[in-house]
Amino acid sequence: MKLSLVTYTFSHFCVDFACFFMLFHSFKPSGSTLETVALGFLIYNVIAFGLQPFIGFFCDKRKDVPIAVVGCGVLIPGLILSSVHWSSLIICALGNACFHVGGGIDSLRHAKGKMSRSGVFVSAGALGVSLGTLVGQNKSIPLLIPVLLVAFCGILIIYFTRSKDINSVHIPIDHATVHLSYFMVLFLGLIAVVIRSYVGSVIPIDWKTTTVLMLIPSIGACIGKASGGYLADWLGARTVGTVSLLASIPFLCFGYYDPIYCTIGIILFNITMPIMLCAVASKLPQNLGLAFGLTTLALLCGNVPTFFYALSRSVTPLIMSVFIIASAYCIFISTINKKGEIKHEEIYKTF
Amino acid sequence: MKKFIKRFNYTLFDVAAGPMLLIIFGIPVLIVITIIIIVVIAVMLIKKAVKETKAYNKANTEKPHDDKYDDKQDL
Repeated sequence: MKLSLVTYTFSHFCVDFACFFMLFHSFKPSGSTLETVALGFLIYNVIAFGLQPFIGFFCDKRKDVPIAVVGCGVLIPGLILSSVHWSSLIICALGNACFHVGGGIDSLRHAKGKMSRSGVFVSAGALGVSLGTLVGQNKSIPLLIPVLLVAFCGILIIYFTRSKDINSVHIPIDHATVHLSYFMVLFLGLIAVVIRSYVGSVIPIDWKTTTVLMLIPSIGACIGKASGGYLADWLGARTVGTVSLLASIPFLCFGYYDPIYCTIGIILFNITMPIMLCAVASKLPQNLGLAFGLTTLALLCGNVPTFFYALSRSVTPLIMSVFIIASAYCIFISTINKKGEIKHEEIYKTF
Repeated sequence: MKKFIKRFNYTLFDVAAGPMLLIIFGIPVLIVITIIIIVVIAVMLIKKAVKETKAYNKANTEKPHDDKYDDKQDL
């Protein structure tokens, strides 16, 4: 099981790396205007994030479809066709969506009721995006590298994720509160994700001036997401989610100009990611693909307004703090602490 | 048909600036509409999934019918 997590996490890094390599290596230089490039990136986001609920729902019904491998398979021709810019963008976005659903379902299905696994899986994406952006701008690096990486990942997934895993028993744990209705928990959980996505997009990071400094925020996001699951398993989802968000306010809203303070804020801010994913998934235990897809759709909904409207610098800290408090409140009322109340390992042995 | 077309003022169809306006405003509006449609369909899928989950939970929590127990009760 751990081998499949390593495989999917590494593949997540490679797939996001390949997609952003294509975007910055081929698509961005082809754009005649900045508006065209921005539109391309927006369409990429809409396809890659917006289609995941439907792909996820399809995979919940057809559990035998190896959707992550399909994603890698779709991605390869998309990368090869990078000279046909728009087609390449659409095919790569589709491949990306398919892979994410496959990896997301795997991370939730084999989590044994813990949040750490999904946190680790998702964390690698941030690094892949920023490294893909950086490396893609270097014209001397050939497109063959991401193509080979994705092909290698496809082979790894086929080899290390066994077919019998498809029918393995998913052990759900209620990270979500039982006092609210299904829809209320899903609504609050997804609103928290929308806010996280929006605030994450509007943080004014002016200090990203060198290559190393450009990587720091994504390293912070990666650490936050990966550690969030472990912390929540240890201390409880509600405590960790609420406290980490509230603690991030001074760092993000008043220390955004400083790389160290801002990175600490980004780490704290991203801790909630696996918590909200598992809270949504715990309300839809029979539809893990849909649950994962809904969180990515919420990410898209939070990200889209930043393409159309830029906040003025003077009000950004205030808006960020109000939104983070609202997000913390959503997490506080929609999740529970359930550390050590269910011995998941024992339950697992009985199946 | 010719009669019908003649009624129109052709200057109204002189839309040299139209496509540019369409690109600037039309495509973003189209994207926003697409996202709204995606969200609406996702809500419908959530309803379906919640129904399935409730049915699954109900099926798993209901006690199986025990004939022996019922016989004893009758006695």
